[in-house]
Amino acid sequence: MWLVLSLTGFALAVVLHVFARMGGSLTIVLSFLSVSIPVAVVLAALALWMFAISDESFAAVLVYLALCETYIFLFTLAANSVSVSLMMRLKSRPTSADELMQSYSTRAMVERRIEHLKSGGFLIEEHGQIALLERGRALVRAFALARGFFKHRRSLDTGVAEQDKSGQRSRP
Amino acid sequence: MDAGRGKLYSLQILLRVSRQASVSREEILASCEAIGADKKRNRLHDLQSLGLIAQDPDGTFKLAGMGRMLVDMLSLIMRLTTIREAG
Repeated sequence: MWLVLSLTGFALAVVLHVFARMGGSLTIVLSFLSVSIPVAVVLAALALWMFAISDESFAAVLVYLALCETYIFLFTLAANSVSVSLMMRLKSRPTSADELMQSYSTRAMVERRIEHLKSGGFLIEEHGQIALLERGRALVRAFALARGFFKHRRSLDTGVAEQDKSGQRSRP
Repeated sequence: MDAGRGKLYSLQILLRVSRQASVSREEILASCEAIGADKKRNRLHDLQSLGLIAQDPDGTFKLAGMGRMLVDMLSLIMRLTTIREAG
């Protein structure tokens, strides 16, 4: 019964998200959170009412949260993944490597990410120049801390830095 | 798969901008574009290693069974969430 409660809650969150996406101006993740969190609260209240404080109540909430997390992972994967984009291009017919490379514009992909970062409040563009906002600076600092913590020798910007110096390709 | 790597592109852009007070859009595009070409080829190789795509004798790539299942599932999710284009 607790599993039915989790699955019903998740299905409800997905349906509400479809409607939220139709009219809302929030980003895709925020719009899902805006519907899934209230559903989680209702689901937790229902679970407590039906099962009191018990394993079933915790299981119902945790399974619901796991399903929501998986859903968020999958739609961000679909929205951002280079690999998924390449696979989508193979859906209709077999394609050569060169044709695939040409059909998927890296420039458009980078442009899209710049726009996402701008709309997310990480970057600002004024008079053709792009600069970091405080939120972007905080993320860069957090990334530097994480990189130090995990002792990553090779940084993400190595490729960019090397390319700036030599004008050649490098794999980050 | 590379949901995270998609985000890494955004981090690359942030790191590129953080090294100067401001950068032109063209500079960012130029520095990321060349890397992107390499990335696409690497992703193609990764997908083949994972058995999600296969290469025909004539050199063309096609979706393998698992790849088609994954693409169908992600297509459904894209329709539900009104994502217009992957990647």
